[in-house]
Amino acid sequence: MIELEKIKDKLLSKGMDDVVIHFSCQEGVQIKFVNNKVVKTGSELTESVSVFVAKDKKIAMTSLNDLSDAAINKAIRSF
Amino acid sequence: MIKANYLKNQFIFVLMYEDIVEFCVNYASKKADFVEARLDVSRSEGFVLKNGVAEVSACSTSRGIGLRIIDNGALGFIAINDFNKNKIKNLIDKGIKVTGGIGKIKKEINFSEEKTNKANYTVKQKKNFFDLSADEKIKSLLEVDKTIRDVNTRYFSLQVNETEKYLLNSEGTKIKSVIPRISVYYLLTLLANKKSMQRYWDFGACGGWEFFEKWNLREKIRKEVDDLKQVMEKGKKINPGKMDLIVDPEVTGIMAHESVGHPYEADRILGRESAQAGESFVNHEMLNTKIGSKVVNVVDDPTIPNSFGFYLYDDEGVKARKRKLIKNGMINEFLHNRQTAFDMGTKSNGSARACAYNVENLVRMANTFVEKGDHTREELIEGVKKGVLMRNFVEWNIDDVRLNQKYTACVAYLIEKGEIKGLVFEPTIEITTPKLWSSIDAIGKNFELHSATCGKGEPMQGIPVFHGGPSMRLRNVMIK
Repeated sequence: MIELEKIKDKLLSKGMDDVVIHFSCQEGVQIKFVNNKVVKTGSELTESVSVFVAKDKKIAMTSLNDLSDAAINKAIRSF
Repeated sequence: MIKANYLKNQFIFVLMYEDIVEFCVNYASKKADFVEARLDVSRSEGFVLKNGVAEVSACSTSRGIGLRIIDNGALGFIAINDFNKNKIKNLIDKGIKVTGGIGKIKKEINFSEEKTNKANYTVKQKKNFFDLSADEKIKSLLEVDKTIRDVNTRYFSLQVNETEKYLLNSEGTKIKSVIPRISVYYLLTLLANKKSMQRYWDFGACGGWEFFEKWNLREKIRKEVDDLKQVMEKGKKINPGKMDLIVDPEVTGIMAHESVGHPYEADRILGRESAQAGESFVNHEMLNTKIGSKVVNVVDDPTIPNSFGFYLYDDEGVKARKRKLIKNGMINEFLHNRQTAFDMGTKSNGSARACAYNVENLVRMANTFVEKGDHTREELIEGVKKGVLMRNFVEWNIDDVRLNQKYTACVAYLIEKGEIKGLVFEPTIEITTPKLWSSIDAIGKNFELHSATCGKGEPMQGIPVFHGGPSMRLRNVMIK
């Protein structure tokens, strides 16, 4: 489990006025049925993090589903 | 002829994750008859400007693997973005179990036999858009906005992304690619003389920031605004009736995309996408039958360098080529992936595209356009006694099977005795597809391609495309 608190603290320490972090993990199955036949089944496992920040009335957001430390640090640096 | 830049070092993510892709194919191949894994890593940035104020800046990285398997005749799609091998194994096992459990209600899925391909290609950015800061990109949009402050509401959006892909299948196909894309969308609303007009358009290319500079948006959009103001001030409603019509490349492009490209998608024809994308008035038996006049040639070509819909291999690893959809007025071929090609007893023509790792590929257009003719634009106009010239459009609409449609002009002129007269306010053509392409008697030498994002599927997949062509002359059609 990634450490969302740590991301929030890092962003606040960079002087952001507001920070919203959204983490989601989704597992789903889809069956596509066409002309009375199943033409495809789908199986999905997705994890993603979205970060919204506000500073000086400007809004920026990022989303990533590469949840490695390197990818998260890079996203934080981009703000 | 395409000269792709073979820059091995640009495959940053492919090098990082290729062992995972190979693990997926090797593991799933032990349990399924066919396996294909597609790594898709897309880095993107987006900026929005509303009435001169930067609203939101966004950057994102999407990374994951989409797998297709055929097990005992059933097709399964598996998507994962957690590259832990145990999680991948579990998901593949579950996916194969679901696919194998369908039993008798499955449609037997087969793919056309295709040559296995091994290739790497990258499109180079001359001026890398990721090297420019967010402030520099917003400033560039602001400079465009500054030139049209007299427009009531102004919306601009700038998107840049670079997608790295690695496609590997159990037949031996291995395709690696890096494709950067840049696009600008704008929507303007003008109010004057108790009238309102809107204009939206896209600029897009496969390449780097050099295209933003090349588009010269400040001058082009300023000119558009001046033209719109003229239409609002001087444009008169036309008396409805049958007359000749000349359409310029923007209108030609939307007509080709909507009434030729979409109905020639073989998955629509076969009914696979009917609930989501719609069906087609065209059927398999209509191949090699007349749909338009002899001067009409409509093609779809993904291999045009730096085009918005560019690719050299599709998302099934089939080599891309130019598709002649209408040849001398005859329906010549449809757009196919391997599945529709098998079902229609032909070969794939490389039309399988997916917009992200977590969606299956569908049959899609790339760059759809009408081929050039032998008339100058002036000659087309000179040959009209009474008619309308549509330079661009503000609105279009087409039915579910792509048969009945309408296009409403944004900037349009009356033509009388071979000369352009006054401005016409939003003339509209309503016509069926066969009538549209059969009414064309002459096609221009001029040629333009324009970018757009084509939507299809559930979940919705937006795919970058070009559409366009030359000016075309239609005889005796209903305009109102």
